[in-house]
Parts: sequence; structure tokens; C-alpha cells
Amino acid sequence: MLAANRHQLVRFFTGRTGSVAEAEDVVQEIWLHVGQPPKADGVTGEPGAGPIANPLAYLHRVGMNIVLDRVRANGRRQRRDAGYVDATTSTVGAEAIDDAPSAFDAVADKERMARLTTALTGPPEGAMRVFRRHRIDGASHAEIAAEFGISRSAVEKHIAVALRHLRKALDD
Amino acid sequence: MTDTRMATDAAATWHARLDSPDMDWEDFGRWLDADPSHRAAYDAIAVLDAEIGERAAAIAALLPANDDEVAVPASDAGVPDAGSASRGTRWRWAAIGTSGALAAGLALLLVAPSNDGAAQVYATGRSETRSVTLDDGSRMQIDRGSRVSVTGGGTPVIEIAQGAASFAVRHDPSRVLMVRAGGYEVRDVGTRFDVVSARGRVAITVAQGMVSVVPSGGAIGDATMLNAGQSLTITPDKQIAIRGRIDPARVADWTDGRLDYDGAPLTLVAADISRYADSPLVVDPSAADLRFSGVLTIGDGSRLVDQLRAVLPIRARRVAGVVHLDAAGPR
Repeated sequence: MLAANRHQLVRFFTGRTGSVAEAEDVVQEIWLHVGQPPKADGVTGEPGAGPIANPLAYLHRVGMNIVLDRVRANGRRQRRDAGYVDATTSTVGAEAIDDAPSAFDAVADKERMARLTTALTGPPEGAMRVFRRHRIDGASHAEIAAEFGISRSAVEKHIAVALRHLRKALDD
Repeated sequence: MTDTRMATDAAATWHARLDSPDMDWEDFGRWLDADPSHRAAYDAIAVLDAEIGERAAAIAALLPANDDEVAVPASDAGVPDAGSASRGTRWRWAAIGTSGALAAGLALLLVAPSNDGAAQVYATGRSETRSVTLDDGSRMQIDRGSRVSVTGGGTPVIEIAQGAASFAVRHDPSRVLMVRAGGYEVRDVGTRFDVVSARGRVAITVAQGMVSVVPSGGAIGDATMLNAGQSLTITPDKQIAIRGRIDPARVADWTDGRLDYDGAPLTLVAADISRYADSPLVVDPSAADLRFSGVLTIGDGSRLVDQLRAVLPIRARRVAGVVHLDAAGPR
């Protein structure tokens, strides 16, 4: 499955990451996440995760999360390198790790939480309500559509609108 | 509207539709390729969304409680689609009937890792097990006399320095839980399994689902897959790995305070007992062919050899700090 679509995935993730080398890494990691090619003893390579309606979409989706993790990790590293995060560091095994966040971080974190909460309860109310049902309560798009009597694509639009506003609110 | 603003709007539209049955990944790819600023705009949206998902519990606690009863105005959704996001749906989900199940699974995907990097170390005493819920919702039970560290937040990495831990991993196809033990890596998605690392032996048994096992740093192609009811016993020093079968009901039997065997070689039983005993336990060749069926009660570990001696024709001798099991008398 993965081998057959490897080219397409590498192409997509080259666009997503901006680098062919990173895209290759990501596709390799997708492989890790979804299973292995069949082994000689007949154990199949399909993941034990139940039926997958559209394997190619699934592979993209798994890869998107891998990239997101990398982007977030890079962001944290850059903040750390820039000295924004002043944490005590200790060593466990061979890895230096950030331990307890400093008091400075705690204050910054509290402010950020307050801004997030304000934005999430602010306008546009309808979109934010849908977004909260999804992201805070964990309801699926389909559940929200049924609950509010709107179409799935309307749910998507509400969520997109909410994301735009949140991005703007947190940016200022 | 500025270009940045437009890129952000389009990014939000794409992000909201990732799990849609109509999601067109090729079109999304073209949009990303069209301008480097698109990638940056998308990153910002995805990171923010992940952050909110990660902090969902804390945010929920801050939100006003009385939060229903107001209908969503449908007009709110009447925002024009951003750029190409509304175009082309040449490419559709193959099996509509099961896409709901997939969507439900994917709903968990964006729950992002938290406090990456901070290692939590758990050490258990000789008659104490410990149950831990990991940041991704998976549960880990740690056996007696074990030392286990956890890093990685929502994508947990567990290092078993000594002892054993069993795992019930929350079903989430995008987050692989990794367990490192004795120079091997065990990866898993939505499974119950057990990993033992003690006295030069790594043993992995799977109760449910499937895991992959590779030597740390080894090639992916070298992975050994284990299904439910299978076990892999590795002796890293000798580079030997033996695949076996196990009754899934017996996986991680130690969580109930017992060790449950059905015709197990005495060497295997001794390896398990070694985890709980003060001294290394060695099976001499004279007793190596014995097999044991039955249940041993772990307790504080000190009575395990006695329980074994009560039912098997063996003797225990202590030589230079090592307990040797050998055949008792002529057989």
C-alpha cells in the first residue's frame, strides 16, 4: 500500500515540509506508524487498527500528524535556543531534558490560557460554539452536524472561521 | 485583504477539512506548493489548533459552565471558501460505509503531545505494582522491582531500565507508543501487551492488536511483527530471538499478582522468578528439560522458588550468591 503510493506521498510531503529530504523521512515514519510489509512467516503488514475506508487518505493523515509533531518540536527548540524558555535542565540517561518550567513561564502560560479562553468564548459565537464542541469536548464533525442540525460542510466552515479568528486573536 | 490574511484563511479552510470525505489531498498539495507562505500559514493554524486541543481540559475548566441552549446560526457558516479549497473532488473516499469509523478514529489525531522532554521516572518496590495513565490516555502497569521512565507526552516513549510493564494503549492510529528495553524498540498502536526486561532477557507478549519490534537503531525492514497471542523472547547478548505462542489471557499475568504457566520450560519460569528474587536464578542442565504448569503467587518474591519446589522434582542450591535449580535425585 505504502510502496505503491510512495511517490505521491513524497511529493505531497515535500510541499508540506518544503524539503524532499524531510518528506522522505516523514514517509519513512508513516511506514513505521501504519505497519510493516508482510513477513516471511505470513504475518501481514496491515495495522491492527480496524477497517480503513481510504488507505491513501489515511496515510496522508498520519503523515500530517508526524509533520505537525516535528513543526511543534522545532518551535519549542527554537524558543528554547532563543532563551525564551528559562527552564532548569537535568539529564536523564543521555538526554538533556527540560525539567520544571520557571516562574516566568508559568505567568506567560497563564496569560496565554486567558487569551485562548477569551477568544474561544468571543465572536463569532456560532463558529466558536462549534469549534469548542469539536476541539474542547471532542465531538466529531458528524456528531456536531447531527446535534446542531447542520451539514458536515457547514461544520467544517464554522471550524475554519473559528480558526481564522483564533489565529488573529492570538497573533495581536 | 492582504496575502498573509488570505493564506491564513485558506489554511484554516484546509485544516478544517482534513477529515472530510471530500478532502482532496492533491489539491491541498498544489496549494501548499504554490507559495512558501502557504506552508507557514498552515503551520501556524495547525500548531494553534493542536495547542488548543492539548489544553482542552484546562480550557474547559475556565469556560463558563452554562454553555448550551443557543443554536448555531447557519448564516455563520456562510463564509466564502478560500481559493482552491472548494474546487475539485475528483478524488473521493472509496468505501463510504466505513468512512465514519475512520473519521471517529481520526478525531483523536490532533491531540498533540504535551510536556515533551520531561522524563517521569517510576520505581517500584519489591511487593508494589503501580498503575500509571500516560498523557495519551494509554495505561501502563509497572511490575514489582521495576524502574521505568516516560518521556514524550502525547507520543509516549517508555524506557524499561529494569523489570516489566504491561500496556493498554489507546486506539489512535497516528500516535505510536514506543517502549525501549534492553536495546530493542517495541512500537504499538492500540494494543495490550507486556514487556519484560530483566537479567539479559527481553520478552514481549501481545494480548491484543499488534506490535513491531526492532533493535534500537535497526532498519525498519528488520522489524519483527507480533500479533495477539504471540511472544518474542530475546537474549540480546546472544542475538537470539525466539517467537512463541501465548494464551492472551496469560499476558501480563503478574498484574494479578500471579505467574501463570502451561507447560512452560523451567528456564522461562526461572527467568520470570529472577525478576522478583534477590539473587540470580540459574537452571542447571539436569533440570533444563523440566516443564511447569500451574500458578505461582508472586508476593514479595521470596517464596517463588519454594512454590516451584513443592510441585517439581528440583532442588535449590545457593552457590556464590547465585541460586541453582537442579534435578532432585534420580528421575
